[in-house]
Formats: sequence, C-alpha cells, structure tokens
Amino acid sequence: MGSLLRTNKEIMEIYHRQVDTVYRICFTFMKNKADTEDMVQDTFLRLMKSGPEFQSEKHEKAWLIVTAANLCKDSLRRAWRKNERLDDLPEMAGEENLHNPVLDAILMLPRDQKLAVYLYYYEGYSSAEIAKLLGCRQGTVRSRLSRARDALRKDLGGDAK
Amino acid sequence: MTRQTVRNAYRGVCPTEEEKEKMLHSVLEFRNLPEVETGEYRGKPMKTGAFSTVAAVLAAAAMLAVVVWFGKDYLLRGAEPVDPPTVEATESPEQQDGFHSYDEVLDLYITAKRDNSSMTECSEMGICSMSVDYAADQIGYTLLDLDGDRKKELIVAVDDEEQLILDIFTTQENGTVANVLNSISRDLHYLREGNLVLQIVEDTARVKYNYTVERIHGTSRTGVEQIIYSSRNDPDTPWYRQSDGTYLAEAEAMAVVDSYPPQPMELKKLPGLESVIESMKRYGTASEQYLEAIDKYLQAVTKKWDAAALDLNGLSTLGAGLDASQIGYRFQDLDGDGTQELIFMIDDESQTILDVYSQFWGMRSRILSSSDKIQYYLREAGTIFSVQWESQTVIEYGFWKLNTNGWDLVQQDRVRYDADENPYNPWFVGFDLRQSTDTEALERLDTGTIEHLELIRLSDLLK
Repeated sequence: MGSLLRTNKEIMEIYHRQVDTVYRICFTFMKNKADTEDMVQDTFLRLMKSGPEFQSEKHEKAWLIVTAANLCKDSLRRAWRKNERLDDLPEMAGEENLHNPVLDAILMLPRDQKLAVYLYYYEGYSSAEIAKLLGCRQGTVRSRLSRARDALRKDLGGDAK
Repeated sequence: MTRQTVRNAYRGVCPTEEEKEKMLHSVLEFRNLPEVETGEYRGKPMKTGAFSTVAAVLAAAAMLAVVVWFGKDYLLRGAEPVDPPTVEATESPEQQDGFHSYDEVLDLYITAKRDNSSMTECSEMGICSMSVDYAADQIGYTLLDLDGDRKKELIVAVDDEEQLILDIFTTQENGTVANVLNSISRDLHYLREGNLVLQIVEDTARVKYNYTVERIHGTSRTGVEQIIYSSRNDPDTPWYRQSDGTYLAEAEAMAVVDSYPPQPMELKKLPGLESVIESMKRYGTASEQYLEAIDKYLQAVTKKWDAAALDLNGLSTLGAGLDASQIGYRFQDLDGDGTQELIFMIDDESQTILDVYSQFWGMRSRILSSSDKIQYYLREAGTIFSVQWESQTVIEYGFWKLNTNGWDLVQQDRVRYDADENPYNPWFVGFDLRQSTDTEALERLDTGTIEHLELIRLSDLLK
C-alpha cells in the first residue's frame, strides 16, 4: 500500500529495538496492560503510516517516545471528556498489580511529572534533552522533576532526590 | 530517588515475548486492510512454515495431476480469455472434481483438529488460526470459482448460519495452491452474492470498523464498496462514511452493507472426520478424567499453589489464595446432551466459575476458565454469562451456550459497554453493533440470573 512508507522488515527492526521503551511509556500513562498494548500498537501504526525518516536510532527512539506519550494523552483526554475517573478504574480493568510501591507512587504522579521522571531517571535523558523532546523550557522540566521528587518523598518517605 | 530505584521499579513493566509478537502481528496486519480508493491490492501472502513444504509438494503433485487428469485441454485453457465472475459459477465435469488440488489443505485441517493444535501451530501450518475455536464437525468446505478463471477456489468456513469464512485457497497457474485470505479475530470474511467477499475489520482499539465488499482475482482482491465506522468522529458527525467520503446515518450505512446479501454455501464436512472421533475415543473415558481434575484441585488447595502454579497446571488463576472451603464443584448437564459437565466455582455470593470441564468425544476438555480479564457465571438453562474487561473503559458482556458437541461455547448474545464512545450516544452496543439504551442493556444483562447453587466443597473431600 502506497501510504505505508516502511517495509515490514524495517518496521519489525524498529519494533524489536524500541518496543520495550514504548511499552514502558504507555504503561506509565495507561497503568494497565490492555490499554498499554493498544497504545503500543497505535504508536507503531503511526510509525507505519506517517513516521519520518530517522537520522539515527536516538532520533528514532525520541520520535517514538513523544508519539507514544501524545497518543496516550489523547486517549486519556477522550476518556476524561466522558467524565470517567480513569484513576479509579484499574482494578475493574483487571490490572496486573505489580506490587511495587515506587512504581505505584510514580504512576500516581501527574502525567507531565511522571513522564519527566521516567525520561530522566530511567532513560537517562538530561533535563535539556527532555525539554527538547517535550517542547518546553528546561526550567519547566526541572520544576516538574522537583515537584515529582517532593511528591515521591512525601509518598514513600526517605530521600527522593 | 536514584536511577537504579526507578529502573528497579520498572523492571516488571515489560511485555513477554509472546505479547510482543502478538502486538507486532496486529500492527503488521494493518497492511492487509483494504483501501478501496487505491483499487487493487494484494491478498495476504502465503504463510510460511509447515505449509510451505506442503505447497512445494503440492506444486509438483498438482502439475502432474493436472496433466494426468485433465490432459492438454487444461493446459490450453490458460490462453483463453478469462470470463468475469458470475453469480452462479459454471462447472465443467473436471472442475467438479477440483478437490484433489486441495486435499493437502484439508488434511492440515484434519491434523489440526486431531492434534488439538494451538492457534500458533495452525498459523504455522498455514491454516486459519481461528479454526481452533470450532470443532471439526463445525468446519466445512466447498469449491467455488470465485474469480471466473474456471478454476475453483477452496473455501473453508464455519458450518452455521453466518458461515464465517476461515480460509480461501486458490490454485495458481503453475499448479501451486496459495492462500487468498483468512479470517482472524478482528478481520472476518463472509461470502456475499455474486461471489463477493464481505470483510469486516476492527481496528486495534475497537472503535473503528471497516466493512469492505471485495472481489477475488487469483490471490488479489479488489474493493467494490467500503463503509468505515468510527466512533471517534466528532459527536455532530455521523459515524459511518462511504469510500467516496459521504457521511451516512447508521441505517443508511447498514442498508449499503445489507445490499450485498449473503450467498449461502453448501458446505461439506471435513473428510476423515470419523477417524478423528475414533482416535479421540482412545484417550479413555471423561469420567475418569473428571476425577483427575478434582484431584488436581485438591492438590492446588493443599499445596497452596500460587497463580503461576495454577496456570502451569491448567487451572484458573482466580483460585490463587483460596482454601478448600472456598472452592466447590458441581456436575450439571449444560448442553442437554445427557452427559454432565464438571463446574468448579468460588463458593461465595458471586459463585464465579473457575473452570468448566466437558466431555469431548470421550475425552475431558476444559472449555472455559476464568481469569483476571474474563470471568464466567452460571445462568438459567445452562447459559454461561461472561464479563470481560478489555480496558479501563471497555467491558464486554456475553451469553454463551455449550455446543452439543461438548467442546466449544457458542455466543448467544453480547453487550458491549464502552465509556470511550461518544458521550452523546449510548455507551452500550448490542451484538449486532446497534446501540441500545442503558436500561435496555442492563435488563439484558440480568437475563436468567439464578439463586445460590449447591456445591460440593473441596474441604468436604479432605475430611
């Protein structure tokens, strides 16, 4: 199909390189497996249909991170418009509880904060890189991280620096 | 907070290899969705794996067979102009015997049924993975010249009212057998008048459906008509759109789809079915194996198996953490065939079913099992009620009856609740994709509820 720019082989290569990262990003937002899987698929469908030519694997990863995050936010926004309290629903949705207090605390953070935490602490991006990825100022990223650390410290105790 | 802390926290957030493959499969399937606007597109490629070997053998065998059976007339036919497809396929005497080209394919179906092959195994064999959902005697086949090239295609379909097409195979010019299409869970095909195929595709988030009517040409397909349903449209915009961009009301859209009425197929049973039944009978009686199932449950509660151990031993993971006094079982003839099914339940107010075993041609078969995602309950007259949480906003409710073959469940009704639907429209959608009001839907969901059932508790067996 002409509109599909990449070959199956190319898609599969990118998928195997990046699926874990995309999955974690989506899980950070969606908090349950079923929705996460849907959003992972939507992200790679977007890549298949309209993904740009990547200059490097780093570029490829960054594009997928941003796309996945945006798709998740869109999806949650749609649900929010229907007055659904998504945060109340994970049990009903059959969520696999990972029984990890740190993860639970991160997932409870506001969306922009938990994305910043994930990108900074897990992926190892600098605040400048995160600012570039998310299209905001470096100071905004720092304040999101700072507020996230405060919240985590309060929630978990100890020294969340 | 350190990087290591966060990395450790996310350690469990990772899809399994199987889940990765499943997601990738869904993504790549997208390429096979038809685009009417672009005209012709290729059908699904021939599957790899075991079927490739069969195909290679078939290629040689079919060529030889062609020469022996049909002689030079057949070979010359390739030079003749191809007639357009007709509603009633014309049959020459040799065409009526087209089965031999496809007997290897039918053998694969028989093998899959005999071995109780998994979806993956069916897929590797090159036959429709959805066939695992149907017993051997529910699957039939017919030969029809779908594209008017005077060579019949093999259609394997479910032998019921809807006649879902599982596979279509064609014989190519070089004599090899190639797959034209197969149905998968979100990509279903039905035969429509004029030898057309109606394809119904759901997208990954299940908020979009494509109804595409298409014509077969060898292994390719050309779109004739397409209706796209998307509940993600703006609330003021109809959810149905024709391929030319015209928006339609639901009734108009369905009228377009219904203008391609079903073309009933006279399906024959898979050859050699009797031998499959005989081989299954050799595995012993179901009642003996029911005892094994009860014994396994006793082991589970005495050894306090966790969810992983339960899953490994083929028991419902919902039983994790329950003791012998919380699990009970009963025998009940769910399908009215005179033999009883064995039903394990949580012995509390909900009486959630854990596992149900049935007799399948003399062999015990677990026909359903509740999990975190889907849970089953017993309703009146042997009806099974299911609640499936598909995502945070989507719940699918189903009513099922056990088929008299004692093997599979046949869905009687379905109500889908989707809070992600348009807020200006009902969130409950019925079996036929038509919407219903909350009141109507909830009444349907309450159908056939029953009082508390008497169970034999596992703890009674341990006294």
